[in-house]
Amino acid sequence: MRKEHVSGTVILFVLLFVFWLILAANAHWSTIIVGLMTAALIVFYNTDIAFSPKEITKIGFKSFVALFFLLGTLVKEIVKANIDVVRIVLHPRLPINPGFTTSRQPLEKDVNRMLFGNAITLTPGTLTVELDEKEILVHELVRKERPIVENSAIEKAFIRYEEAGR
Amino acid sequence: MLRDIVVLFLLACGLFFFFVGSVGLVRMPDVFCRIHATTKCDTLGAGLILLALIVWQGFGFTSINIAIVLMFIWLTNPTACHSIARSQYTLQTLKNKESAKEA
Repeated sequence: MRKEHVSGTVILFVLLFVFWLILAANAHWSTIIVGLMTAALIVFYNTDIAFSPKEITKIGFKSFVALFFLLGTLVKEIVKANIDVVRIVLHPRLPINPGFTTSRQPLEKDVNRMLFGNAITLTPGTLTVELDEKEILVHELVRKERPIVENSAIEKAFIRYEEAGR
Repeated sequence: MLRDIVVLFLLACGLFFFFVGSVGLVRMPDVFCRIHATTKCDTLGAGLILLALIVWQGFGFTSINIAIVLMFIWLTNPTACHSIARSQYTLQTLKNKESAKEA
């Protein structure tokens, strides 16, 4: 096992074990032992694909706060997006003006990029089509003069989350 | 009694969003716009219906399980839609290139 994979391995182990405990819904000693063994086996056979520090934000108090802030923003944006779509779909004239826009992609860590792409799909009027190191290609339902993604609340929340993990 | 009302309200809202998603699927003009309608309404629709289940069941281990289901829906739904959108985009650019070559 290489050294840079240790923290990712621990995270994966804890995640799997907590997931097992939630599914099992009891704390009998046999459940715990089986869970520990299974989680250890899975982690042992997947060390090479476990999260590496290059891919995830460091875990700490600050990044946890930022993560909660991010989740709050995401839920707010999802509700907004739904109301938006309902308004457009039920409008008798269907007021859409679809098109593609590219804007910069500010994140460095792979997992954060993945989450960012997914979050953009869930926020109002945008759909991620392509995403790479520098740019993000977005399909917009109602085009404005500037790309919707630029300086949006969700992008700011993601940048804050990544800064917090430095 | 109050719980019944809350559950019914949440279920009705969830159903409404699913309904709008389906209407959008029919009304929108092309693939990308259809994806817009379905992704967004599915996430909140499923969220509200699962929230209704949590309220109905009462809080406990089951509600954590339901929350995990919701998390997976919110993770897989945009992923699948991204995949569809990306393949459609690739296909479109490919077709455009071919037609440009023929002309």
